[in-house]
Amino acid sequence: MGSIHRGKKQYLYFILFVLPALFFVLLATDIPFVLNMVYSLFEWNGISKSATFVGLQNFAKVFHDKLFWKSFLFTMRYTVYYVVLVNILSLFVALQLWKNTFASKVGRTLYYVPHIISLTAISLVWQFILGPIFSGFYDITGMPFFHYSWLGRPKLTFIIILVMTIWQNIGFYMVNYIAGIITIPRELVEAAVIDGANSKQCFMKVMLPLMVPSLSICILLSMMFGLKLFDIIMVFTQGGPVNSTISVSFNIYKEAFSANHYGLATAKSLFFVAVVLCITGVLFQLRKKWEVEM
Amino acid sequence: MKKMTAMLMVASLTAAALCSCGQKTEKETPAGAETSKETQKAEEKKDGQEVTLKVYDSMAYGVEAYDEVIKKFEENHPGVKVEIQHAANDSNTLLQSRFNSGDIPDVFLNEPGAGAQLYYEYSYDWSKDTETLGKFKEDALDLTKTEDGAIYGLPWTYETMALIYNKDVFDKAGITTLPNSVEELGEICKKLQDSGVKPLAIAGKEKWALGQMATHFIMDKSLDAAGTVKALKSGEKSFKDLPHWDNFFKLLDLVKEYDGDKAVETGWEPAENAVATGEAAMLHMGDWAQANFTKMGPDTKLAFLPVPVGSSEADNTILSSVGWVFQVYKDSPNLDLAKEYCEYVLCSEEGAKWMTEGVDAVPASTTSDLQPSGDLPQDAQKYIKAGKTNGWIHTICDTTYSDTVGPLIQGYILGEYTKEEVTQGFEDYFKNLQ
Repeated sequence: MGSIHRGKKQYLYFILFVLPALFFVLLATDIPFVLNMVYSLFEWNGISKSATFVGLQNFAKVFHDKLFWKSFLFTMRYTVYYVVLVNILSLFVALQLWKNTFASKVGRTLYYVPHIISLTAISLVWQFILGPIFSGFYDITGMPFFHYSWLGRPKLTFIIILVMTIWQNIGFYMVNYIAGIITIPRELVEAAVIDGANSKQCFMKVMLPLMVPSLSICILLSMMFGLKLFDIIMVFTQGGPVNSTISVSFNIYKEAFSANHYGLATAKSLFFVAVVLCITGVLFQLRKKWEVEM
Repeated sequence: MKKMTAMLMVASLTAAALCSCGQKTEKETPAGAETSKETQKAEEKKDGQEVTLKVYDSMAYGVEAYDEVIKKFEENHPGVKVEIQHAANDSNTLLQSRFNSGDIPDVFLNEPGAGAQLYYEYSYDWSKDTETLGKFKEDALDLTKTEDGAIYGLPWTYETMALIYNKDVFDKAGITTLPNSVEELGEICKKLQDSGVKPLAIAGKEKWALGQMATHFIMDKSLDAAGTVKALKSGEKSFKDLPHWDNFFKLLDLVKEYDGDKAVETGWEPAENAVATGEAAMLHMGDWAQANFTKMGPDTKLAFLPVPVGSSEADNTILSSVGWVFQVYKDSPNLDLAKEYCEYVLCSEEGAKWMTEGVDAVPASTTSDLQPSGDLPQDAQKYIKAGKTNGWIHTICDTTYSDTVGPLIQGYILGEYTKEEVTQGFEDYFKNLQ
């Protein structure tokens, strides 16, 4: 009896502690989200006092919006490349830098710095790299690589955005992976080595399975980043050239605030939320399958 | 003990949450009690409290000179505090958020046409203030005039756009006459290139810059801006009927040839810089950029080159319109003060100083004799007085004009779209206008 009583009490404390925070989360996130659902049924320019009820028409429009699908494809393509590349690269870097030596500490700092620089500074840095620095290199070396119109050709701009975002975030995932590597008991690795495993087998058969928690969190976070890609586009390319770098978030933003189709924009965002939920759900199922007991 | 601490923490967190709500309601009360706003205002003044006038400045041109005007206005109106927000980037979004959040400015700025129209239902109708309206040029007031005669905004200054060229560079290349057709423009480009200068720098990254450039070739002078848009919208005319549309692609071919490999990645700042420093000879821009040009190349002499869209001088276009209008929130608790503010800023000598000296533009009000000193606005005056200018097309379309047509033009320059595809894109855009 006593234990049940205690459980109830703890439950009460839990609720009491969570309530204040929950209040703010509701206010800032969930209530606007529900309101969004309502807006998506209306045609509203975002400013006017009156809105027209149009039912599900906005959702039908989403499916016929060519630019939205172009941005959808771009976002998916970008996310796949980004998730794969950033995770492989940061895992690789983490494997080099996880030991607590002076050199690796310096290395970690260098990799992490881009992550804490503000976006405006990053775009200035890259504009400088692609502008004066590249043209300077071109003058010296004459290599056409430095003379490409990196921000003026759709394919090249895609690469630049990928490179920039990977460069910016590699340090963050590296830290996560290092944390994962440190938690692996040394005895397990040593036992494998004694049993005659080479370094590749050691990594693939022992370390990687034990790193699934950090792996899955990194994949999830990088996927979220890829799907939500907005700020770099806003600051750096504005969706150009030829609409080749419009991400879904940017398209939604433009629809709401530039084209003033608020209802259509919320319909697009709800549709996208559904897509993201599906992807995340699949990922969680996979994670459960991969994880091993230590 | 543990229990006590826990309870205390929960209590304080809840209290904090409730406190913040309480503050909000307190703030809302004065706005809600609208019935006695006049008396309240008087009382506030008596108590020595300040009336705050909220102004939203969407363009942030000549901010320092503007602040001087505001200071003078505050001196003339004791007890009034002007709270101004300057927003140069993303100003539409910011203004919209302020309206959505209930923090509506008493005075706000929009581009005339589609931009301003979104806010007409919130705007004060000036049509009965004949004395104030008499201080402005009529064609400028027409921009915010609705069919039933209401006038929802007061015009700021004229802005004029066409090709702009660096006079020194032209002189050096031995070019003395301005072109009257795209072919002649091509010859000039060749001469310039031979003299070692990049002929064109059109800021192809900027969708708005490309979209504005296209409007010269859409313009049907017999209909002027509003008439052309109306005809295209109703389907009465198609792009095939436009007299000079084909020449737009000839101009873009020149861009392909003479603006280098990086035409589509060049933003407005490097493009303006290239012309100001004599690295490049021409770009399409407006006299609003005069202050930038002066900063980048103080001794550079610039002038307008009317866009040679047809085959004779009479066809050349130079487009001029009011760039911004001042709108007043009609339900503002300080309506009279807001009206006074607009009139002061736009019609007083101090305001004229801001517009002419601070921004280097031609005021749309007629109350001051001050004139701008920069090359471009002065040059623009010449064309305006001679009646050679036409209105703007891009502002009367809708707010998506640049975002829709800019990428099409970029696509043509990069060879991704054909002339037919681009024309179809333009055609569709105008037909879908509401």
